[in-house]
Amino acid sequence: MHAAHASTVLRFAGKERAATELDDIDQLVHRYGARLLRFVAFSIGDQDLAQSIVQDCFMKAYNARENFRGDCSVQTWLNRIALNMILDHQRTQKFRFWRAFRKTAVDITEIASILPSEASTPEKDLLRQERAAQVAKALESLSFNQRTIFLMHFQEGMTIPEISSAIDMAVNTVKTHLHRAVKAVRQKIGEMK
Amino acid sequence: MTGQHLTDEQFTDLLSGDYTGDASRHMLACAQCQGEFERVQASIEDFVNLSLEWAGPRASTSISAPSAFVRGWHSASSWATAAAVLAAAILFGVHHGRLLTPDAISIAGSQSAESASEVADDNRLLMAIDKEIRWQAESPISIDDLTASAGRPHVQPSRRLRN
Repeated sequence: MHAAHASTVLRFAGKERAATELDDIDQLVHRYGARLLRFVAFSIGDQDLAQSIVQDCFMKAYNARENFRGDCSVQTWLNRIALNMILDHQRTQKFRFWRAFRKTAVDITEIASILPSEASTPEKDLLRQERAAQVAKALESLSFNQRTIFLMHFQEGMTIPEISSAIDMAVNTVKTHLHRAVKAVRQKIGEMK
Repeated sequence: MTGQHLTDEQFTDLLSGDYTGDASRHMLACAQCQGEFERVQASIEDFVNLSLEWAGPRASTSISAPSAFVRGWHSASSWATAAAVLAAAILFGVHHGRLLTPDAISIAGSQSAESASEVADDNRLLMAIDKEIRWQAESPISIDDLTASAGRPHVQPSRRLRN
């Protein structure tokens, strides 16, 4: 595979440029695979489709790596590509089929048994699981924009201006979507008390 | 604040880490808002952490080694280039009347072993093919439909989102 090293210079379409982490696709998947899968899976609510989109997303990112100018993080760039692919999928009949059946819906409650924390007790694990599930449930009721912006902000740690730039939406509109998303989460958690 | 308590906007700002202003002071003084804030904050943190724990094992098992695909692509494109160069060479030969008839082919074939110029021509052709293959292996696979690229953040995504 291509070696990705800061001092390496690659010839790319006749031009020379410094190698970046994007040149090593296996390393790219290793480093960003889980986060990207998380973002896509909770955006669309279907883990099988998310896995397929993430796979394609890495191929697209690798093939278009010369377009990456470094003015945002690699994670943000990957999220942006994934978001476009999600939007493409949403228009297709295939996506409607998947959504209608939801046979592989994301089930966040599965995770408690996978990775029990050493410091936690079964009661704490259950509480964590329930709280996380409430947020996941609240996200299902949101519009696509609200959900995606919520995930970008709280899950991916993107600031409002970064989200605004990434999806080319006015800052105030992004804020409004985020407020509505937080309101829905607040209400859901309020019901849990 | 709505009435006595935090609005959704203030609540969101606090969750985002903006502790400046009246909202922060109110929260310190209001046990109800503070309790709700801590619950929501903890829930979101749990969701973020557990969702990553959920995704980790799935990503490592479900995303197959993309390097194999990339190598496959490079290999296929290299062979395609080699085939194109060979076809061009044959057409070039036809154009110069060297491969017009079966007789000409057989004559050319029998003479090529002895002719130094033929050997040199063959070597040049092979070097050209080799050069093309090496260049192709270093080149990107062109993707015209990719709209999300760094430095051009205002291209497609937003238009799509607003639709």
